[in-house]
Amino acid sequence: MSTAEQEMLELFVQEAREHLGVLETDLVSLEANPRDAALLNRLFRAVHSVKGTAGFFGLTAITELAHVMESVMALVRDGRMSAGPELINLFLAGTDKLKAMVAAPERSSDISSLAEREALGALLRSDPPARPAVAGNEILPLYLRAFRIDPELVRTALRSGHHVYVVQLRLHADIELKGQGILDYLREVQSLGTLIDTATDIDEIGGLESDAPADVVCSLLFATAMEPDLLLGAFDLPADQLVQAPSAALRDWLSTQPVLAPAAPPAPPAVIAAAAPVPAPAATPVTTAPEDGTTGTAHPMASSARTKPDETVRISVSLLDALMNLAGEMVLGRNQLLRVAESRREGAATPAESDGLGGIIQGISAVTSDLQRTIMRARLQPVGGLLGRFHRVLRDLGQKLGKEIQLETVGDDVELDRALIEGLSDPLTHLVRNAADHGIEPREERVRAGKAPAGRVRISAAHLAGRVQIEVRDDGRGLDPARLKAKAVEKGLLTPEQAERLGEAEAWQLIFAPGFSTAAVVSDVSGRGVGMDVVKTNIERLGGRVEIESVVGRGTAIIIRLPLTLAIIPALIVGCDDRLFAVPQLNLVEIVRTGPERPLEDFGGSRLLRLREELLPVLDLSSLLGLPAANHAGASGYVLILRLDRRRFGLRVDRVADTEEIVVKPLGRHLQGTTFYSGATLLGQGRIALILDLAGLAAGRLPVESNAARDTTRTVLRPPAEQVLLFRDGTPETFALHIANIGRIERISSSRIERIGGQDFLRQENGPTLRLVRLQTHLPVTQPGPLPDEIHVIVPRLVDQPVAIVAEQIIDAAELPVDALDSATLTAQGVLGTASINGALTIVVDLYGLLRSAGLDRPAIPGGADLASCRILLAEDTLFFREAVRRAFTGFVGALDVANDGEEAWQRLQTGSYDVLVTDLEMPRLNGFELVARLRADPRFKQLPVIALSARDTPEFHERARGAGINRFESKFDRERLRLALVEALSSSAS
Amino acid sequence: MDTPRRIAAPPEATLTPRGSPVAPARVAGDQLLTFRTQGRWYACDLLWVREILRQPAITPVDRAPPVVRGLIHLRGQILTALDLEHRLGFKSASSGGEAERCIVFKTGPELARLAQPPADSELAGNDIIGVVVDHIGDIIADRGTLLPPPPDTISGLDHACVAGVLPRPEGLITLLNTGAFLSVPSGSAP
Repeated sequence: MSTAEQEMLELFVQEAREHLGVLETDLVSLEANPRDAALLNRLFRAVHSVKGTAGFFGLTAITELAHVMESVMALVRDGRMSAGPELINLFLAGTDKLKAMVAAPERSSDISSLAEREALGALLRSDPPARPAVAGNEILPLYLRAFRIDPELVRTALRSGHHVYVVQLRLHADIELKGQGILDYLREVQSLGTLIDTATDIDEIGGLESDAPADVVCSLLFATAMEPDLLLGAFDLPADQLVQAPSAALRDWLSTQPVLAPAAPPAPPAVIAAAAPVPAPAATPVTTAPEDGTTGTAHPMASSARTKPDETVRISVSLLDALMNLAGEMVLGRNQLLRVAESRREGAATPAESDGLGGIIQGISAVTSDLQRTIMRARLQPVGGLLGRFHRVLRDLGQKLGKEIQLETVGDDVELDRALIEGLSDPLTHLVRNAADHGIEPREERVRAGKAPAGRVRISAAHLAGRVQIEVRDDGRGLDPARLKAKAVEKGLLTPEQAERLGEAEAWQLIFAPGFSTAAVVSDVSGRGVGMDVVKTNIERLGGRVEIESVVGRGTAIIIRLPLTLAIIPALIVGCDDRLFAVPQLNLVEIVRTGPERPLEDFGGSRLLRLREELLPVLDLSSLLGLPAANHAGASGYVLILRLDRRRFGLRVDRVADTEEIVVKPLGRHLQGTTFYSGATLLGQGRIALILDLAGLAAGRLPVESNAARDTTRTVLRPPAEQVLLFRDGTPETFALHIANIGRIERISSSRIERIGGQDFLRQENGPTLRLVRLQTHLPVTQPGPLPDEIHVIVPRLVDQPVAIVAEQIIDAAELPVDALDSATLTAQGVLGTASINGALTIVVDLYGLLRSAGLDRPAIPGGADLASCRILLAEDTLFFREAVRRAFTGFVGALDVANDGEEAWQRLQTGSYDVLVTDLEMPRLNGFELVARLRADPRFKQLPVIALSARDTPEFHERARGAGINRFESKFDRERLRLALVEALSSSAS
Repeated sequence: MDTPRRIAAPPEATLTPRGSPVAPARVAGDQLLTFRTQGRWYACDLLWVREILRQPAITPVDRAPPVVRGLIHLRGQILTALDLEHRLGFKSASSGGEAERCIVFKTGPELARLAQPPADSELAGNDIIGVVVDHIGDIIADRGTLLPPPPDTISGLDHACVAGVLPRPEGLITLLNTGAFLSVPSGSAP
């Protein structure tokens, strides 16, 4: 096989996999909604596409199986057969076989799908009127009879005045000789119209391996608006290879076909059980590792020597273009650097400042950050593909366990680093299995407890405070602390006294202990030799944390928090001897300086640090690594207080160097399995620092009974938090300002401040003079002393006036949990409330309130509109996004009204007056496009700014959105971008 | 990462001189790079060599297996530098002083781009590996007769790494099986 063919085949594999993934998910949904016409059509199309492309490659095994599946699906779609569980089982078994075949197309013919085809074929035979379309095709002209024609497609085509053609294609002469790939060609064809069916004389091909000289002729049944001569030109084909199908004949044929309408009562469905004895083995769902492409086959191909092809990622062309542009800028920067280097070499007389080196470096640094961000975007993938798999997993599990379980997934659009998605697959599967097996009670028990007979499992994904939270929640029996403790005592993991002392949250943690299994009987569903301890280890390896929340009798939630990406992490660089190490910031709680005034205490062989009436075990990095103990006893040094899941401990190091965003590089094979390091990184100066694996360092070295478990008493489910900047302004009070409000921070010399008419101003070289606002003059705080020489000014975003807030000292960025805000104790204009952040009472500043009290009115929109009086209408059907958007705009605009779909939005627009419409594009009843079309057709709403929200981020979609009259398109939910979009939409409509 | 345990095809006792038809199962290509450490001469297949670093700065990895000398920063990449004698399993191996040279080997993808990758190239991984040596010698072409390596009971030598010994006018040269040499020695997993 030529390389080109191999590449095409790989493309086929990729596409077919996607189709099959959709198939699997949709089949499971079909079981719940057997009459869902849209679903049926999608299923049909997925199988159809697989069949069609496989046909091009002469992969007869795949084509045959897909063909039978397609035929039976057509029966279901046309309402002649009902999709009961047995039929779904058959389809799933068929899908598994197809997956296996697609995984190794060259060997697909070695995989027998006889059982599946027989079982499905029996259904076909049992339904005489539904014999393959050929049966109904007699009235068609001869050359059309070979096609399986989807009446819906033809009907739509004829209704829109399209022509139907039969195109003869010679694979070699017409496609390959012209330097095209089959898939590209097909894609091109499909961009010109609708491909209804393809037919290849499979007997003539004899597989790709045969060097048959004869060209393969393939016929396409194709509907398009184009006239024949145009089409010939577009396809670059001679005239004799195109035949136009007479519309009249097609219309006659259509009249013999059943009309598919969702409302129409379906024909009496054939009862599947009576149709054919279904061979039991073929219908047995396979529950082990359904994500494996070879599931359901006992064929030896899993062990085939075929090496796995390189992993590929699909990225959008716009992203690639962006990368290309950045690379171009990089080259520009390098050339500038070379020029500077050259000029320095030639004449050292050039003063360093005048050759523009600073500017060049700034440019390169900006491009580098952009590059990094853009590449990160390419690594992100929606988590939906992963979550979708669990429909199948739960369905199979439910059947096996005799429980009825419904799965709900939330946040399919949340994007995660590829590596994280891969790493999450196993732990999530385990959690879902556990939920189904241990969590959800048997039906009778549920009914007795007054619950719905069907159990529910909910997997949700969301971005929270710069991290990703994934939650597996069931409404089962919950974790009973008493039972867990009894079990742990029985297993010898705890003494009865220890168990006695454990609180509820600590008892839940027991399920993570190695060797702990709560099921009385180890079932083949969840007991596979791996326990929750492995889940936890895996999640921690990904840099995440696992938390539990449970109410006895109500259910359990396992909450996984993960970093957004694995590749770049913020880290603290520390030193021991002459070595540098990186410690992930994620695990760092605080740094304590030790010395004579704060010595480490020796306590029965282990060293302890007394920190705010708490004793923490301290490990010494130098001695762990066998480094010379630099002037130890009582000597100065630092103790990093680290948090590892729920334990806290100290790590003594000699020096604390810096914080840095580090790029994690994996260790080579000789260092795999070293317990102390999780990777290496390059620091700014080109030095190498090893990244410490804290779990490895701590393993077995912490005292068993320590206050380390103290962390468990904290709130189990941390609420979402917002990022704030902590700063002081010459008074003892600490202030917090939402980072989202901050445009930039500048460090200036206080001598530059000019005082005019009782107000402070800062002149800028390029930009308007900034009016300086001092918190101390507007907020109820203690009176400050004189200004230091150097201060910071914080320039806010989304504010029209040139204004900046003075901050003498920037402390840190921190997370402010939403519910930590106390808005009752301190009330004043410009204050949102107080909160305890990092142990200090902090005043949370309300930027807009502050500006108002400083005599600067609420930020106006450039052009005159005013945010305070702005009214927004939000049309959104998903609760999650409704909430998210509402939060983004609350307090930011005057009013926000919510409509649950496009129709409701339209109704509301009739009565209310709105300045902006924010709308989802995919909604029931009236979708976003239709709504906007209606608006634009109405003179009253012609000018109404519309911001669309959609997870679909393709250039075509953007194009379509623009064409529909949508002013702004936001593809992902981001509060700041949304606010910016709003401000821009308002200002452009005002001007 | 998987640790390939397969060992390259056994070395031929006699190698064909240059110009003769190439034997199908060669351990190494036609050209060999020679180098010296602790007074002993070694050679490896030149096809495997990516570049040679002069006096590289080595970052030690504490508590790492002794075969690892440390990590080296190579233009944005981090490579694992091996200790030659420890890797060969010499009982007398001592961790040498300053690293004079480091031979950097090609990775699997780099070897795959060669028109004729060496026979044992499948033992290469994606990580960059180098070996620290004292001195780089000549590139030699003609290998003549290949003697079997000394028995391992004496030296502790890991035989999988060694193809044989080349008697040369200037002395004996130990020819390495580069692929096996770069793999993780069995039993050294920490």
